[in-house]
Amino acid sequence: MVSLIDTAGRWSPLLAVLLPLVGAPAVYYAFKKGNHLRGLIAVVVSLTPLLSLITAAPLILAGEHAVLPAPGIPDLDPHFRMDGLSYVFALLAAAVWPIITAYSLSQGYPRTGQPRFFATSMITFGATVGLFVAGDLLTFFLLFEMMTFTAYALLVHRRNRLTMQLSGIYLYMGVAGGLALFFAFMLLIRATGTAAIVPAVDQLAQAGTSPLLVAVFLLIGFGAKAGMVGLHIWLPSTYTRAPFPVTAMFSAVMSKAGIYGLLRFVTLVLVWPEPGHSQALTIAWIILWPGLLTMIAGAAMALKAHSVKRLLAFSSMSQMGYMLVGIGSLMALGSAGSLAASGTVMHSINHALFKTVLFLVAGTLALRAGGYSWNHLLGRLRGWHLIPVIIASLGVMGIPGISGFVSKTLIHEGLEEAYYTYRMGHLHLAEYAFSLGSGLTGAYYIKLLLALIAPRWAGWMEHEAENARREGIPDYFDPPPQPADENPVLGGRVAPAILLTLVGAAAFFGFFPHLAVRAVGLLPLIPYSFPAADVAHLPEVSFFGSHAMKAGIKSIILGVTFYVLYHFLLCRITIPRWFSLELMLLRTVQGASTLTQPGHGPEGIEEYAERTPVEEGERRPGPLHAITGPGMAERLTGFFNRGQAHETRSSGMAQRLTGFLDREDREQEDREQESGAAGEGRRPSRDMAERLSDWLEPRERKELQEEVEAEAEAEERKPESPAPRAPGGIPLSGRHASRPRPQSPRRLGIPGIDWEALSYRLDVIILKLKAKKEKWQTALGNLPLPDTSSVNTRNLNFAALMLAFLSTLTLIYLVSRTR
Amino acid sequence: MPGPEQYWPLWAVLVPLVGSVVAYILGVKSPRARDTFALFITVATFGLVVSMYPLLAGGKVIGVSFPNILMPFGVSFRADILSFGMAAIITLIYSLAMLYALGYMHEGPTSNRFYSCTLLTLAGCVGTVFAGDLLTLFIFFEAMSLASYVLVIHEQTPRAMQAGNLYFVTVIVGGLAIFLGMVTVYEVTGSVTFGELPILKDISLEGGMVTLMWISFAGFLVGFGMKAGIVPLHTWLPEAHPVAPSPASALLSGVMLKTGAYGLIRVIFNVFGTDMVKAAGWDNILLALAAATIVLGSVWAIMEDQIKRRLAYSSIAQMGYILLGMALLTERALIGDFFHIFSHAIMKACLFLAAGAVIHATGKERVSEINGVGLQMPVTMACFGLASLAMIGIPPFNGFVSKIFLGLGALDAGMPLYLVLLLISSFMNAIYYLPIIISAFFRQVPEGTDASYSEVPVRMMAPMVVLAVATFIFVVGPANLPLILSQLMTVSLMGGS
Repeated sequence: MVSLIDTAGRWSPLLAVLLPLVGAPAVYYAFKKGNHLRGLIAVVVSLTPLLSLITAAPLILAGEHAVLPAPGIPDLDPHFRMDGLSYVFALLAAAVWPIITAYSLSQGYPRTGQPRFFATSMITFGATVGLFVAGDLLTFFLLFEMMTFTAYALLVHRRNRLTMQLSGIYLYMGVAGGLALFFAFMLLIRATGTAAIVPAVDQLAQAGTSPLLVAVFLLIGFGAKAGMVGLHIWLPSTYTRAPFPVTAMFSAVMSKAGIYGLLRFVTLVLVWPEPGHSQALTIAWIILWPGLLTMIAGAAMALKAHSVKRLLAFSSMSQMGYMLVGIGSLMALGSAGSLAASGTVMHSINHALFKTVLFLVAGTLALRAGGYSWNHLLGRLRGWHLIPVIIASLGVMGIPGISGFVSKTLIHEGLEEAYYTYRMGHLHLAEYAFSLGSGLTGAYYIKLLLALIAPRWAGWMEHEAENARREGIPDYFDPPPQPADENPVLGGRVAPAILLTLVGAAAFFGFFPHLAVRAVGLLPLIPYSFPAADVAHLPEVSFFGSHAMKAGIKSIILGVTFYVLYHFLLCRITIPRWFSLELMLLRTVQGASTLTQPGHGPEGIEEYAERTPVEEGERRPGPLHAITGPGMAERLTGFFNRGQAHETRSSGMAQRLTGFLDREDREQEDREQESGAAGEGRRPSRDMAERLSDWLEPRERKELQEEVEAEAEAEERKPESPAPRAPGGIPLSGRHASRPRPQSPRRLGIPGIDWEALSYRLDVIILKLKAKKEKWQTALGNLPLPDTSSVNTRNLNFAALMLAFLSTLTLIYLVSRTR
Repeated sequence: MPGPEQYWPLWAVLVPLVGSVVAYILGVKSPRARDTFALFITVATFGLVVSMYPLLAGGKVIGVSFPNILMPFGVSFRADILSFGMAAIITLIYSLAMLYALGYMHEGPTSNRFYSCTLLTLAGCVGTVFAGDLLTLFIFFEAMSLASYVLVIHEQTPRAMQAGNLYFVTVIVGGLAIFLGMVTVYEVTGSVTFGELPILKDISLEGGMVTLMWISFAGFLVGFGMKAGIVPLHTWLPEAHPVAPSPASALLSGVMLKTGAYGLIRVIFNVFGTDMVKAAGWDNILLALAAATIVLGSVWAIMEDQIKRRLAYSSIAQMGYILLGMALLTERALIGDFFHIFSHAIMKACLFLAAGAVIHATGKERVSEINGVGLQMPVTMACFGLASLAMIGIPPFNGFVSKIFLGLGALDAGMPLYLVLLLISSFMNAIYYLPIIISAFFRQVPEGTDASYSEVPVRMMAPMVVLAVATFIFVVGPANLPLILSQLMTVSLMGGS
């Protein structure tokens, strides 16, 4: 019996990877055929890795590794290997995945495409568990990439255009991050001559490669996955647009792949024998400070977030910052960093626990309320949902008594220890930054709880709604969840059981922090060579002593202060539109995709159409120009003075679509409104219906069609409306002025460059030049100047591309020279 | 009198050569018999090549020469492990493409011509790699190029004829350039026969010899570079490859480009020798060309909407990898180079066959039109997807392994710049391949379009599936045969180490 468990334990890494992968087809067919046991099959398949990992517990506790060869590339010997650190993370993934699977099944979500969804989820699961137990660089890289790609299929489960576009950012960031990793791995493989994960500093020095370079590329690769500031650009939109179970998977598990990667490949590979080596410290600071920035920026954006899901998304980003801070302190302290190491891993676990609860409950509430915005969810948190949400929120805030406090304290102690060891000024500053981050975290969770529980206290709502209008943030940025299946596969009792168990564990370990440390805080330290005394001391850290409590209370006080500040002051601040990275990205992506996808007008209308009905009399920003910009002439002015979003009154389906129409139509509308001829706004035309028909889902198309027909009938009895007047404003070249916008003959598929806008800007520049030229000519007595009217913008575009490209190459060359 | 085993390379060339004539004659009587026969010939050639392995294992060389044919030079055939590897992948892709062609090609008055010329190009390719001297290589190289003209213009549309004209000019110019290089070598040494050591081993770069060597090298570079699609000489490639019927495109891109690369490898290692190449600084020229080819090929591919043209541009970029691998002149780079020759042949053949299947079934030729095709033709697009991921270099596909070895080779040579270049190119690969997969599988089918296409017949599907499986099976399987073969090929060129 003992030997059986032993064998199973040794095989468990491979089993944990293979079982979900093998089970995926079974899940697919069970759902495809509508088998009545399909929910159970999915849960069982997702539980298999957990079971197989549990059999390895005796081995791991005894301090052994479970090593298992995997087939693959000769000479480089890929294999699976499990030590304490891998084990904790693998167990985390293996525990969270079945929970999310069971929960989403019990909510009947997603309603459509379940076979695809759950089968893909199992494959992603296998890859995610696998990368935690990978024993060498290549296996890790294989599974890391596999996770990136299969997770994309989960993200775009709701396959509409805007989701595809925004998730594209994730995909390409993932590929680029993977390539950065690949570069670092190649440097390591070449230096050590093997793909095994071994301390490599000496070999790197021999091979003439700077460990700093390796660390930077690793940080880019893993930081992109974890959502480090600067590399987080994919995170908010991807999180908000994914189905909520997927968001929970991402936040709880997949982003931890970045944290695990940094722990495994930076702190265990770039190891200097003596602590405090200057390069080690440099690496530590380039992890620590981005971590602090991530923490603060994420928390600040969460405070100003305009929907619950977005708040939670930014909160995830901010919490990743804590873990990065822990890794930075660990890197700085070297073999004295047991507190930081333990804190980082425990915080990963706690964060996974809390975010699972929060995202799942938020999803459930939004399913009932019809959206994630404050408007929808205000005061919606009632009944048994109160307990898990309150405990989880307090846990993320770091309130003593819940396990989040334990890990936060450990990370904080680690940071303090780094300060006391090195006594550097910027570390002192880091302490303040840490407090600031904690305070902001407290503030936005107070905001969240108040909004969800006590709506009458949420006076900031009005200001925020006003802000959203001024910022021109389209509310379909935070789409409501698609309706759920009314007859869920699993019983409704599953959900409360799951959530209450989770938060119960959090509260239990919060009250008994030493048990928590003993349970999970010591295992991940096995691969590190910390002094035994340090490790033994770890459970004796005084969590409820005055020092730790002081820090905890300080963060609570700061949190309340920040919240009060927010309530009375900060909520009135409108963030300028140009500051929104997301709008910018969306414009870029859409600019590229209008060129790659022919025959379509502006983007995102189906999103717009699926949003919830507008309340009577409420004025909203024009639906589409927030994204695609208003008509051409207005876009022009928009480029000059970034004018406010055009506002239109909308009531009813057809009016909401008027954002499509260009300026002349709107002028017409304005005139009509002024003269009181047609106060209701614009009516849909047949032409418009045709133009829009590609964009809508069948239901909406039908609706629109009916509306158009009704309008047409009414039209027949009325005299014809006056013909549209030619647009005024600055005259433009024929290419842009003509409507509908002609497709440029050669479409460019480069995301990241808004070709339309670029060529537009060039046109603008040419126009300006022309105007200047005329001015000069009159001023200087008709000096002959070259005629700029014949400049072909596409050639200019191409030249600009080439220039950018060559300069990139030059840059890379220079970088590579200074290795 | 050489023993009978020495004649194997000759048989491998003669079988398809004679087969092409027989196929034409058969086709006049019975198209069905011709189809079977053509398939049989390609498979038989593959079998002949594979069965040659025991004769070549352990670095042995076999071959025969006929000094009396074409008097001053003579014609000779020679097979070493390098030729064997090339011939094996060439004949494998030919067999699969031929099977595919049986399902893809519509019977018509030009069918005989197509099959006959395909077999002729096979003879040309095999002859090129089994050539024992530069003249034989030149003869078969030209035969292959001229016969493939017929494949390019097969559809005889104005566009195909135009592309054919460009191709024809390229072939002539390239052939003349190779001839120039060859004659110069003959003038200097009096011999053009390949041996263990480089032909020009005794020549030192001094005085007037420098000019001669430069002329000779430039001739070879232009001639073989044109075939390989190196950047300033690539102009014919994106025109000619897409207009050919899809199986022929797969052969042109997957196989015939590689003969250009093979020629350059022979020139570098067996004609000039690495010492001379380094001394003259030609490796830097090759590296610069490789960099330009990789970058520009990818940029053009991104800007292209037509699938087959995008694939053709991608071929240019990938030939840049291969050129890079040989120009780095390090052992691991060369291993990666050979492995990438195998990988790219498999991946690109698979991609062209799958693109052809989509065109065959739906008539859609553009990336922007294929929304939702993946759900209608799951097997075809799955093959396309696997091969695309392999192209990007995602593990566990073979493209990843070649990237590892090429990258390690670049680091060995002390040029991490080229590793970065490979990674940028991988990213660009992702930019132009992923949208195809995403459109095919994830984007919704535009409403109102009649979207019911059926999968292609098994004859077309089987080769795609085989190739798609081949993109990863060797890497995850117990023995990575192409990698082992690449290592053997590298040892045969670089000497034991």
